[in-house]
Amino acid sequence: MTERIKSIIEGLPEFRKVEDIRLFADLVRDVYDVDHVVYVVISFGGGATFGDYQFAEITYRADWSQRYLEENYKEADPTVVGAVQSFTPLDWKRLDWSAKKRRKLILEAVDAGVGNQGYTVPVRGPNGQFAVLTINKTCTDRVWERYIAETASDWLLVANFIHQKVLEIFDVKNEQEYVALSPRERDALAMISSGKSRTQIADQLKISENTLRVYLDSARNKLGGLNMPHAVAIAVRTGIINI
Amino acid sequence: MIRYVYAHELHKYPSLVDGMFKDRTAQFRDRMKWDVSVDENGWERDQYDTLAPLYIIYENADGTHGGSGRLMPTTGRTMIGEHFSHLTDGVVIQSPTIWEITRLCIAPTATSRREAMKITSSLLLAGIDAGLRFGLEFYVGVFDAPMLRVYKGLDFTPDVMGRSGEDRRAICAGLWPCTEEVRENMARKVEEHQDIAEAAARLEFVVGA
Repeated sequence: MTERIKSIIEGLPEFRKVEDIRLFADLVRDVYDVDHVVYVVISFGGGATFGDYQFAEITYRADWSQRYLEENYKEADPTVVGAVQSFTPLDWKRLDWSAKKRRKLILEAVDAGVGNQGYTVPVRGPNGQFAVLTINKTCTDRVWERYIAETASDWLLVANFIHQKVLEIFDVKNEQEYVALSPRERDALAMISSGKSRTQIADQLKISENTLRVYLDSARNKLGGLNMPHAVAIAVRTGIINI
Repeated sequence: MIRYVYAHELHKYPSLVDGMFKDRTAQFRDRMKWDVSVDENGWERDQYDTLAPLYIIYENADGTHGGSGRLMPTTGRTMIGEHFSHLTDGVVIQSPTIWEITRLCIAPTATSRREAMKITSSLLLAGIDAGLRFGLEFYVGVFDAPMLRVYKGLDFTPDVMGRSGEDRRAICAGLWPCTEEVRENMARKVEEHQDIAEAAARLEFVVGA
C-alpha cells in the first residue's frame, strides 16, 4: 500500500489544467498495474441532477466510450446505478449482472478491452458534488480478491484525492465553508514535521496514539495529501506550519 | 441474522425497518431522554437518515428488529463533526478511511443482558467486517458513558477522544481501529461470525436493476 502511494506522489503532475487529470489517470494505471482508470464527475453540485456527465477522464478506447454513450449504457450499468445509491465502493464481481442489458454491456465491454474485474469508488462532496473513480483489470477471481484486499484503502485515498484536484482545477467552491485545520491538528503536524515520534507527540498532547492518528489523518485529508509526509510537505509549502 | 441495508432499499424490509425506527424512539427519546424528533409514525429519524447511510440491522429469529446501527463516511456530514467537535479537541474528523457509527440501538425486547450483548457484538462485528472490506482504518462515534461499560464487557473498548458531562450523563467521543486483529477478537465471541462475513462480502449485490 504505502509503496504504491509513494510512487504516485513522486510522479504527481502539477494539476494546473484539465489535461493534468489525464496524466494522473495514466500514472495511477501504471503504478497500480490496472488496465484502465476512469474518473467521471457526475455532478459538480449546486442542485444539478444526475444527467449528462460533466467531466470525464477515461483511458478506454474511443470506440468503446462512443458505443457506451450511443447505447445509453449508463442507465443500465450497475456500477453507475450502485454508485448513485451508496457511498461504499462497488466490486463488479459482486454486482447483479443478470439483467439482459447488463449482460450485453459486460460482454461488449470485455470485448472492447475493459478488464473483467473492476472496482468503482463513489466520491461525494458536501454540496451535492458526485463523482466516481473506476479501475479495472484483467485477472482471475483469486488474483483479484487478493489485489483488492491489498489496495482497498488506496482506492479510497486516490479517489478522494483526484476529486479534490478536479474541484480545484475547475475552481468549484464548496458551499459548506472549507474546513480549516484546528490548532490541535496544526500542533500535531508541526510536531510530526520536527521528527518527533507518535508516542512522544501523543504523550505531550495527552491523547492516545490512535487519537493522534485520527487527528493527523483528518489534517492529511484537509491538506490534500496522499500520505503524512506528503501532507507535511504541503503544510510547509503553504505556510500552515513553520519548521 | 445481520442484514446490511442501504438507505435506498429500506422499503424492502417494511416491518424490520418500522421496528428499527420505533426502537430508536424507545431508546433515544424514552430511555435516554435525548432531544430527538419523532414523526407521526412514531419513528425517530434525524437529518442524517436522509443522507444515504448504510444500516446494519440485527434481525431476530422471528423477523423482528433486534438492534441496529448506522454507518456514514466522515468525508460527508457527520454528527461528530457537526455537533461534537468540542469532544475531539476542535478537530473536525474527516477522512475517506474513517467512518462514523451512530444510532447504535438495541430493541427493548432484548430482555436479558446476555441477549443484548449478543446483539451488540454482532452489530459491531458487522461494522468491522464492512470496514475491512472497503479498507477503512477507523470508526468514530459518540455515545453516552454507560455504553463504555458495555464496550469494555465485550473487550471492544474504544479510545475516548473526549467527554463532557458528569458520570452516567456524560457524552463521549470514541474511536475504534478497524483491523484484522480487532475482527478476530470480536469474531471469537460471535457465533454467527461466518454468516456476517459472508453478508459483508456480498454487500453490493443488492444494487437494483
